[in-house]
Amino acid sequence: MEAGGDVFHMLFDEWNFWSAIVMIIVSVWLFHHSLKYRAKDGKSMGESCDEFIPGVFPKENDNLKMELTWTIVPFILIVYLTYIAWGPLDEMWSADPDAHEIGVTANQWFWDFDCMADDPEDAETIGQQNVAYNDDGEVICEISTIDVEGETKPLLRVKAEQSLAFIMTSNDVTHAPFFLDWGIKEDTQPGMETRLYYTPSVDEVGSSLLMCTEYCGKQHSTMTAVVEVFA
Amino acid sequence: MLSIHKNRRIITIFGLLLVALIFAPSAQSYPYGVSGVQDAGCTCHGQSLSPDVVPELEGLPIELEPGGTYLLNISFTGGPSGENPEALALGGFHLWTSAGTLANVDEMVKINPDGSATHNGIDATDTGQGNDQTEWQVEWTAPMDGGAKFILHTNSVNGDGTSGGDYYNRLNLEIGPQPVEQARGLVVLASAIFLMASITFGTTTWVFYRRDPGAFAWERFWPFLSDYLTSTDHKKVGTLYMVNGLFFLGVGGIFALIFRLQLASPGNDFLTQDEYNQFFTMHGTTMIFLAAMPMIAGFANWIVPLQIGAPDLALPRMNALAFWLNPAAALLIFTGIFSGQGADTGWTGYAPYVVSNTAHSGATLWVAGQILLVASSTVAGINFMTTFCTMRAPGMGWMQMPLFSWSMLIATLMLFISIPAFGIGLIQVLLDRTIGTVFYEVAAGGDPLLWSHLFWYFGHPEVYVVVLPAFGVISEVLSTSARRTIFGYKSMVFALAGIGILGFIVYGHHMFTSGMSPVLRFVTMLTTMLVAVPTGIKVFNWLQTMHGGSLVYRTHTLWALGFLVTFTLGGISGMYFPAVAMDLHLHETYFVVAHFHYVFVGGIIFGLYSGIYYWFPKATGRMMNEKVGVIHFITGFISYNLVFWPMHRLGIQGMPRRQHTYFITTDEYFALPAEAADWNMLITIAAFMFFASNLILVYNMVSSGLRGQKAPSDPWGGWSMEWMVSSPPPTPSHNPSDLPVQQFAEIHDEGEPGLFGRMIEWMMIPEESHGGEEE
Ligand code: HEM
Ligand SMILES: [Cu+2]
Ligand SMILES: [Cu+2]
Repeated sequence: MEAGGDVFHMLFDEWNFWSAIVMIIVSVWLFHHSLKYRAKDGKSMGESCDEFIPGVFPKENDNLKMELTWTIVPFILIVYLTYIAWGPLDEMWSADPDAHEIGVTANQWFWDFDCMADDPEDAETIGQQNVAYNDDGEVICEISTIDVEGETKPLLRVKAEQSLAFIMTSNDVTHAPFFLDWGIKEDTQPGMETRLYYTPSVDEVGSSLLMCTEYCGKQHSTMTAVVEVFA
Repeated sequence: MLSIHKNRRIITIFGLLLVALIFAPSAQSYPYGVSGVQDAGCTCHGQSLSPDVVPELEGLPIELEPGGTYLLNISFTGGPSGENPEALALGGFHLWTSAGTLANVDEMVKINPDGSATHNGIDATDTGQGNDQTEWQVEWTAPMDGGAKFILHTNSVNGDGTSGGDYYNRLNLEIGPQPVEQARGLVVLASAIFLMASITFGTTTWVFYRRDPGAFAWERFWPFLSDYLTSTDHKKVGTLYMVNGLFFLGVGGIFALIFRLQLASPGNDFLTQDEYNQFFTMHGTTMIFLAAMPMIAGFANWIVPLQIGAPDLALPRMNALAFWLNPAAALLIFTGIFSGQGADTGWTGYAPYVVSNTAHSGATLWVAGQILLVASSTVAGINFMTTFCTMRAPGMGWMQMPLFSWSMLIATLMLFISIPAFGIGLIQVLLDRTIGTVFYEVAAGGDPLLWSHLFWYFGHPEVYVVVLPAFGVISEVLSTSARRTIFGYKSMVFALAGIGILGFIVYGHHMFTSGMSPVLRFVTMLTTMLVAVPTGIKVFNWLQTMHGGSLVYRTHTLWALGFLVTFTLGGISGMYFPAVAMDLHLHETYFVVAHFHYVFVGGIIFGLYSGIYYWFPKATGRMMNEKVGVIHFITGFISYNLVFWPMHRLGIQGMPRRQHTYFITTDEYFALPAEAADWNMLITIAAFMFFASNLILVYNMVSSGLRGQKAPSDPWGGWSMEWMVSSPPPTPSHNPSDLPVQQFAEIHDEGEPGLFGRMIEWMMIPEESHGGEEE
């Protein structure tokens, strides 16, 4: 699996395309002008050179049309890019009422997952749940541990095509789970609830890494977990 | 007569300070480090230490089980406790641990907010409470890995209801594997600073010696030095700023090399996690606050008065003060490392981590040091704004100021408006860490996002504050080298101002993943996208400046052209972040590290290097060696790109920043792609090359400064006023009784003062006689 989700790669390719165009324009311009308009013998002055005398504000050198061009054209490009970047926001930020909620609690320096009760409104059933089922009785979320190179790490298993809502908080300082292959992350804050929404597709079946990506102290870099999507 | 009075005043002030120091609460809030409240045992009564009191801590196993729970017995014998049959109390204790958590088993013991445990019951009449005991029990949960330290204080109380006659003692215990490398951070830092200090000292004495080898005598060394150290002349203070900036550029660079060694191969343990955290924190802080900012201040000091035709800055003493706050601040910022506890918060110092007790104690003084820097910037800001408003040469309107001066004016304004937020945040953190206020204590109702808002309200303008002066340098250099007036002077100024305004409303882009309200995230996404427009105008204007000109290739021209490439790349990679959906993947990865180094190094440092080559002849009266300069450019430019370009790729593959190591394991899913290891190795090697290439610059500056060709007053054919005076410039820089008058190559309409100028005149107190500066 590759790092970054579909949305990321879609936007990334688009941005690369426009970046390349801008960079080509700038480089060609730069090389052309800096070579064509160089002082061949290191001294001589072209006829359109301006005479500089210390203390004398030089002749103006401008061209309103050109300046407006490179104000307006980049502006249009920006508007276009903003428009593209806007789309995925709705999807990312709007809550799906049918999403299955998964609790994520960050601690210095380990992750706590919670598959949550079927009915989060029902206080009786809240408490750490290691497994959750959908209406058909299939497992949609399961929590256990896994051995990675001799170290025990939390393992979160979720069902593909199941819409998920991560309800996140922290017990101490700021952390941020980074779902590497999905290309999403969000800080967990103490005393605050943050959310992430995601629906893994069947193409994403397999395991990937979850890291902490908000600096949280001594063992920040080993605050990892494994996320597995099963069909 | 006067001097006696003065001396007496100084002695009184020092005396008062001394008294204050003795009585002031210690700056240390945790019981390790130099001296702390905790040293005296539990705070209620802790006057006298006595070896007769024997504290004991039982219940710790020989072999620690990770996460295991142990019942600890705390007791003491000896001391006055129990001697008095009518005693109101017997004793107390305070137990602190460096790792794991303490919990109480009964109501005899309570757990303090900082995680330590102490007896319950405070007043003299609460018989039957925790202070009527000589034995207590607490439960301790061991950390998941590593060992722990315990510090136990017990207080033997005579029970007369006062604290007189009570004695305490202290017990230190360690269990499990202890970090063995505690002092290594100290050694490495000390060597880095020592190395840079000896280089600086060596170069200074060498410069002193070579100036006049025949008349060399050590007696003259101190007058030579003190001339600089006590000067208020803008040129000398500028030199001090430059030396200070280059010094810390070296220190910060060495830090980078050290942690790059750690990252050279996956799973490396050259540094411990703890050390790594301190090094990247110190690297970032040093580079931004102690290297880039002083270097910019150095340029501003040197060039602004010369360029706007002023004899000196408006407030020369304030200027010296602003500088001298810097070395003091640097000392505070680094101090923590000398106790093995340097700040480990990242240069952003996010709360609540920075106020939590897992952050190193060095963070306290790190914060204090930055408060001094805030003071320094504020003082310097007042000074520069005053200078710009009141001391431009006769005839120089706002719209005729050279672009470097314009960039400094906008940068100063931005800094001045943004830095109070940072100052307030820092003071709150300092109070939280020292006297126990709860501004950032979430449990007490603090907002977990408050610091991020305050910091980035300052932090984003700050990055423009450092990059705008580089823009100014490039504008000057390109125009002079191409022998063309800068293309679109007016749109350049408006673009600067536009960046200055937009810079304040975009900071939310650092918080796209923070849980901040989606509305704010969306708005800052739009505004951040917009910043590309004025920045684009500047880049295209620079390119078009060369049109029709006759570009002379000098070292400073090369750096300016190099800047155009790298800065444009940095600007483009910056455009990836405002797309929130993309930022969710890229945030806190090496893509970010690549981006901001393309702006910081490829933008700021390259711009300033260009400025060094450009103004060096003016400052020293000697030309720099062009051949050596070209070698510096070529090696620097290539190795620089080798360091930072691959980081983009690593970031996309998901290598997170601020992490001590990265994983390449046999479990494929638990790893970065295998190629990441090779890229990291390449980066480390190139980083050493890049560092080495900068030594060429230092060599060039020293050797050219001593032996270079004599420079004429206008070696490059520039037009602004610094080229009117001799090289090096006289003191005062422009003759106050014969100030230069701005001339014009074209007839220009008398639009001055414009709206802005009239506004400033309206705000200023009218002067009796025009141009009458304070003597
Ligand atoms: C020898 C040249 C340099 C090298 C090899 C280098 C390398 C690095 C690396 C690898 C990081 C990421 C550390 C991590 O996140 O684990 C970093 C962070 C940083 N660097 Fe540099 N850097 C260099 C020069 C500079 C300069 C000149 C500046 C600024 C003017 C700078 C400013 C920063 C800042 C602000 C950070 C962020 C620190 C933090 O995360 O708190 N660096 N550097
Ligand atoms: Cu974390
Ligand atoms: Cu920013």
